[in-house]
Amino acid sequence: MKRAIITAVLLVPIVAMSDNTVQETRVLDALTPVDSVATITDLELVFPETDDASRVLCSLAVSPTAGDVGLQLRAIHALTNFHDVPGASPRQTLADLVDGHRTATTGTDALILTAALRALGSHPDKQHDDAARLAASLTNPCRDVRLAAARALRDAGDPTQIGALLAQQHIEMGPRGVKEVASAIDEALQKLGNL
Amino acid sequence: MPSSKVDVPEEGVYQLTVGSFRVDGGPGTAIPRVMAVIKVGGGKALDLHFHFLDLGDHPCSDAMGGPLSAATAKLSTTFQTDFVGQLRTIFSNLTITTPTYENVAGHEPQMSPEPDALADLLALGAHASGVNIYFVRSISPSGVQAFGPNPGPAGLAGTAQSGIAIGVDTMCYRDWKTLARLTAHELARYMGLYHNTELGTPEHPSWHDPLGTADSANNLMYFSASGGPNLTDAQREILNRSPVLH
Repeated sequence: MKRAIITAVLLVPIVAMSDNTVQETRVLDALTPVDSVATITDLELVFPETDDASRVLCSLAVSPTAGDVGLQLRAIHALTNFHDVPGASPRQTLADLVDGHRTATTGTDALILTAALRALGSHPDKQHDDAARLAASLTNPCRDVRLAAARALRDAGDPTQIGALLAQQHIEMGPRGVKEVASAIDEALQKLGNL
Repeated sequence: MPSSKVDVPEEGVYQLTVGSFRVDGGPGTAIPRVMAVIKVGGGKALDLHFHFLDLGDHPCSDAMGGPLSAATAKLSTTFQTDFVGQLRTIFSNLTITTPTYENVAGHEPQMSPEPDALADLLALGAHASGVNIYFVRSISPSGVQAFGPNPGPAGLAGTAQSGIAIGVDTMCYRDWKTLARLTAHELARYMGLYHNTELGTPEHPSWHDPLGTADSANNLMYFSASGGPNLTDAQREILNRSPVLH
């Protein structure tokens, strides 16, 4: 219910912008470059008002134009640059995306989960339960999701999940583990001062 | 070089003036270091070398028709028709020779390389002729579909820019023909073409390549994934002169 309310509120700016197709095209272009992701300079170009950026990007991260997952992934990444404004919370949007896709192992849902994990791990407004939220994906059956969770915990820099990292490291170094995920966990543990 | 159709190089000694520019288009103070590779005369044949990292258990395997590797790609009708075939269509003025297929073993990262690691990956490029193309699970951060130098070091193997990388996670939401367009875009950058326009072009009118302004958004060099596969005659002429060709 809470997510439905947030989504409904966040869709308003897109509808309000519908008269300005040039602006809409620029937003879409900013979120679909082939060989880069939008920088803060790019986003400032298409969103002169920071509040608009937070609102529109939150909306696109949940419900992208024409269901374009490529655009959605970039919108999710772009949210790391923005803070709460009236009617939109980039951090909460990322947390909701992680929670809503937690069991994803394949397809676009897995891509959205990995993108949301990385973005939440880098977001400056993290809350006390976000590290546990990231650590929950360390045991995901998909190795790409586990890698994203390890890197997100590295970026988050929260030592409360050292135990979860150590436990998963043990598994990743075993016969059913993935060496590269183990390396990412090593890196996270080093950053958190446990190695 | 050159990236202009008006100056056709001939044998002889050239003196080049190299400069930098600021974001606003004004002259900069940086002193660029340049290696100029100039091919006298045109070429026709483009060698492509496909390298596959570990793509096992990929979240998008179903969309790729199963696990992708050197062996499966070589035998996959879809890969050959929709991907390689589309590359041949886009570069119809060139002859893409029979590609080579290799798995990349014993290298880390195999999974989602972060920007610094991509340089190490491209440095594995052992083929000095043509272009090395690396298929990776994904490129970090999420949403980046391709990565490569602009232009690439034609004729030089083993440098941090000796190839391009393509993230196959794009296949979760696009098809092989679209991935071919993204790959062709990156190949063309490697071969000397530039984005025909940039996001900031309306604010900075000098940020465009005059060779590709016709039907801008449908051009192969449009910076966005929403661009088309078209090339202007002037762009094709520059591609024909790329030192990558033989």
